[in-house]
Amino acid sequence: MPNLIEAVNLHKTFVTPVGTVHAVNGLSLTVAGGEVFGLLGANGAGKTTTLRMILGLMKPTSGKAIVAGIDVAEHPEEVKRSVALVSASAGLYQWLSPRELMHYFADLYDVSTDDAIRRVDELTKLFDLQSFVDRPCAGLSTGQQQRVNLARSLMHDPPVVLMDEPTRGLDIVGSKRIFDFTAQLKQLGKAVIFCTHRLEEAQRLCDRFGLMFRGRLQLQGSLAELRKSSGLESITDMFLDLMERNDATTEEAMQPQLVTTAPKHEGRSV
Amino acid sequence: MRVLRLSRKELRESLRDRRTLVTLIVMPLIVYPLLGSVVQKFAINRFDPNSPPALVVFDGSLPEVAADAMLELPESNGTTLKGRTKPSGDDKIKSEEKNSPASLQDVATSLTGSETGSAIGALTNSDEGNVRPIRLQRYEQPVKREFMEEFLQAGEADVGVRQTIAVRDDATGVVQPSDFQIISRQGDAFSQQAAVEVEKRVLAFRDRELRKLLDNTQFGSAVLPTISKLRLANDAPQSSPLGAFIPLMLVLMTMTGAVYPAIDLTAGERERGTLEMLMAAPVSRAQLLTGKFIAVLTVAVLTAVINLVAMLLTLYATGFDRVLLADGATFQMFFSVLILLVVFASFFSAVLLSITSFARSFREAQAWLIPLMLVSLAPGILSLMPGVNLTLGLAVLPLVNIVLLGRELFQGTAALHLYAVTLLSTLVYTILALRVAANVFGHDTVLFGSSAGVSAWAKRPTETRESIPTSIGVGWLILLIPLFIVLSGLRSRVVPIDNLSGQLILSGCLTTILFAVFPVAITKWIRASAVQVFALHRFHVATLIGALLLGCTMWTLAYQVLMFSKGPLQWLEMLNNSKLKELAERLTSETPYLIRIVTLALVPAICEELFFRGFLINTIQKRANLWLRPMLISTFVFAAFHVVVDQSLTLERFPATFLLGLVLCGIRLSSGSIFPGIVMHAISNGLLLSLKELDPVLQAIGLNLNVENETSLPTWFLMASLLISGAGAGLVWMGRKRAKTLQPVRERSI
Repeated sequence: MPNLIEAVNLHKTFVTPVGTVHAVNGLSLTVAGGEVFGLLGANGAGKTTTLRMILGLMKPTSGKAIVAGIDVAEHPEEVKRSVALVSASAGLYQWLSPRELMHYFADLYDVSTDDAIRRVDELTKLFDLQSFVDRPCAGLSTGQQQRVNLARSLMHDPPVVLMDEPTRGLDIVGSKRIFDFTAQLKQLGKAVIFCTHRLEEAQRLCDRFGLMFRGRLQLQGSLAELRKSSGLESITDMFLDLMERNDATTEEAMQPQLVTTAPKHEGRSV
Repeated sequence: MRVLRLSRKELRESLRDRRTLVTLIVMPLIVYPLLGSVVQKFAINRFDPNSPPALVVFDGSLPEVAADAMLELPESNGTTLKGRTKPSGDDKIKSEEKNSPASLQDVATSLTGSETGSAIGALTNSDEGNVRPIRLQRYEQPVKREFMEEFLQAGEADVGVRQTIAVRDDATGVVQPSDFQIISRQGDAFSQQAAVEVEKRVLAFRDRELRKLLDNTQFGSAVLPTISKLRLANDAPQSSPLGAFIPLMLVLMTMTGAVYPAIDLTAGERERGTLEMLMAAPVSRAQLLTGKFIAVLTVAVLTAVINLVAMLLTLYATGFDRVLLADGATFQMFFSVLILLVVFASFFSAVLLSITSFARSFREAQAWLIPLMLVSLAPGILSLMPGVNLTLGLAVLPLVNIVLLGRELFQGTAALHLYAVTLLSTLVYTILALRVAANVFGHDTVLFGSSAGVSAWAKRPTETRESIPTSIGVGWLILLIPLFIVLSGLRSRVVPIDNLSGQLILSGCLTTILFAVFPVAITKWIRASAVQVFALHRFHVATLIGALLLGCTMWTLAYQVLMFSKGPLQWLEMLNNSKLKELAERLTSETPYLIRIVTLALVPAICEELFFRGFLINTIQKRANLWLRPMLISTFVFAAFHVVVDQSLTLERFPATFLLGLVLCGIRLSSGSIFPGIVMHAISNGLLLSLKELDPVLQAIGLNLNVENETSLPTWFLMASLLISGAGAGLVWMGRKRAKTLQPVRERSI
C-alpha cells in the first residue's frame, strides 16, 4: 500500500533561556496504509514533537512532512482533515456529554449532520459508550474518558491516525482495548503512528519500529530487521543497548540535546 | 453559520457552569435589593423627624429662658429655616424667603410625598438652603465652664455653649467683647452639624440684641441690612450626583459577568488540555475565537440586562428613581442604556479575550486581568468628578466614553451625536481587540510554551544571541512607561520648577538612564550582541549625506504637520496649546543655548535612537523582510512618549513626531545602522531649538519665518524643504544595505 505518512529530514530547534535545544534532529520515516509504526523512546526523546510536526501543529525548523500526499507546510488545513490525533494528555469538555462532544468535533471537521449521527452511533457501539454517552464528561473515569477521546478523534474517519501514548493511565483492560482497536485500524487500511515508551506492548502491536534517542531516530525497521542488525531479541534490549552505546544514564537520556553556541537559524522557543 | 454552531457549544458549556450562573443571575437578584434596602434604611433613619434632638449644654451664664429662646430663634436677620417640598424634577420651585418667621414644626411637616425620596434628596443635594431637620434641645442642667469639655467628651451632650461676659479695662478703656464659644466633638458628624445649627441661633441672638440696641438710638434697627434669598426655578432635569455611581456599577457588573467565561474559554482550554485538539482541527483560529467571542458577549449582555432590570426595579420600588434619575425610570432611558451596555459588553468581551488568550492557565489569566480591572476603574472614577463632561474628544476614548455617556443618559443630558460617536468608536476598538485575540489564541507559545516563572528571566543565559527576546524587550517597554511618567514628575521635587536649566539637565540624565543605560545593561545581561541589538553597523556615506539633508529640512514639514493638527484637535476639544507655547517661550528666555542643545538635541538624539530604532526594533523585528510592523510599532511608541510634556498631554505633537519617527525608522531599516538617524535627529532638534538664534541670519537672507506666532511657513520654503527632503531620502535609499548585510533570518523567540 502507498505511503500515507512521509517525514523527510525533520528538524526542530527551540531557544530556551538556558540554551538552544534540538528536540528533533534529522528525522525521516515513512508509514504505509495498513501499517502501524511504533515511534518509541524515553520521555523527552522528541516523539510528541515529531507528531506535532507531521500534523502541522508545529512548524519544523527544517525538513518537511507529507500526509496522504499533501505537503503539510503548504496545505495545513487539508492535512488536518486527513489526520486524527489521539493524545493521552488531551482533556474533555467537562460540561458536555460524549454525544455532544462528538457532534462538536464532527462540526469542526465538516462532517455532515447525517454522517455525524451515524458515526456517533457506530463509535458509541465500538467503544462501548452506551451507558454514559449522555452524561457530562466530568463524571467519567479515566478509562471512559480515554475511550471518549478515541471516539471523538475518529469522527471524521481519517486515513492517518497519530496516537501519542494512548495507554497512559489505563489499566490492563483499558490498554488491551486500545491495542485491539489499533489492530482494527490497521485492518481498515489506516496508517498509524503509535508513540509509547512501553516497549513490550509496542513489540506485540507494531509492524515497524523507530527508536528515538536525543531527537534522532537511531534504529528503524521491522522487528526481524532490527533483530538481525542489533543481534538482540527484544525491543527493550535494543533500546537499553542504544543508551549504553551512547554512554548515557537513563536520567540523561530524558534531557533533550543541549547545544552551547547560537546556531544560524533559531527555532521557536518553549 | 459555522461560527454560530461553534458559539453554541461555547455557550452551552458556559451556561452549564454553576459559577457563570451565580454571577449571571444570583448576584444581581441579591445585590441590588439588598443595597436598596440598606440605603433606604439609612436615609429614613437619618432624616426621621422623630429622631432624638441634639442636646445643647450651657454654662449657666445665660438664664434658662434666654437659652431656650436662643435655641428657637430663626436664622440671622429674620430668614427662616423653611421646609422644602420633595426635590423631584417635576416640581418647579421658585421661592422667595425673606423675614418670614417659621418654627421647626413647619420644617418637619413640610416633608411631603415620598419620605425616602425627600430624605435622599436632602442627603444628596448640596444646596445650603435644603432641609436639615436637626432639632435642638437645651440640656436641663447647666455645666460649669471648666468642666464643659469633659462633659462633652463623655457624650453627655452634643454641643456646648460657653459665654464670656464683656470686660472693660478701666485703665485703657478697651472693652473685651463678650464671646459665645460653641464647643463640639471632632469626628462626630452629628455634633458638628448641631454646632452649625447652634451657631445660626447664636448669630440670630446677636442680631436681635443689636437691633434692640439700635432701636434705642436715633438710627433705629432699620439701618441694619437684612438678608433675603431667592431661588429660581430650573428647567433642566435635576438629578442627584449619586446617579453617577449607577453607570459605573452597571459597567462593573457587566465586566464581572464576562470575566469567568472569557478565562474558561481561552486559558481554560489550555489548562483542560483541549486546546491542542482544537488546533488540530481544520478550523481557523479566527473562526474559533469568533465563536468564543459570541458566547462571552452573550453572557456579558445577559449579565448587563439582568443587572439593569434588577437595578431599575429596586430603584422604582424604593422610590430612589425620582431622585437619582432625571426623568425617573422610563422605557426610553432603559433602551438607551441597554444599547450602550451591549456595545460596552462587546468591547470588553473582545479585550478580555485578547488578554486571556495569552494565558496558559486560569491563574495566569486572573493575574493578567487584575491590572485590566484596576485600569478599568480609572475612567469610572473620572465620571464621578464634577465638571468632567462628555466631549467629542472624550467620546473616542475607550471606557471613559461609555461611563460618561451612561452618566449623561441617566441625567437626561446626553447629546445624540456624542452617543453615536461613542458607539462607533467602541465598535472599532472591539474589532481591533478581536484581531489581536485571533492572532494570539492558540499560538505556539501559548499552546506549547512552558509557564516559566520570574526566575527564568532572572537567570542569566549561558549563550550569546543576536536579538532581544520579545518578552524581555516588551517587558522593559511596559516598565518604562510608568517609570518615565513618575520620574519626570519627580523632577520638580529635586530641582525647583523655576530653575529650567536644572530641569533640563535632570531631564537629560533621565533620558540617558531610561533609554540608554538600562537597555544597554539588559543587552549585556542576556548576552546579546550590542552591535546587532543597537545596529551599530557601518553605513554608506550617501546615507549620511541624505540624513544630513533630512535633518535640515524635516523639521519644517514636522512643524507644518503640527500646525495642521491643531485644527482637528481643537474641534475634538483635545488641544492643549498653551502648554507648548509657554514652554517654548521659557526655553528661549530662561535657558542658555548650550544647555538647550545638549539636553534637548544631542542627548535625545543618541538615547532615543539607541532605544527606539535600536533596542525596540531589534525586539520586534525577527525577520529582515518583515519591516512594516516594527516600523509602525516603534514609531507609534516614539510619538506616544513625546506627547507627555511636563505632566500634561500635548496630543498635537503626536502627528509631527510620528512623521519624524517614520523617517528615522526608514533610515535605520534602510541603512541597518542607527548612526545616520542620530545625525538627522540631532540636526532636526537642534535647528528647531535654534530658530530664535538663527532669526537674524534668516532675516538677512529675506526669510521671515514668524514661527513664534504659529502661522504656516511660506509656501516656497515648504516646497524647497520638500524637494531637499526628497533628495535626502533618495540618497538614503541609494546607500541602503544590500540583502546579505541585513539582519539574518531568525524565527520568533521568547
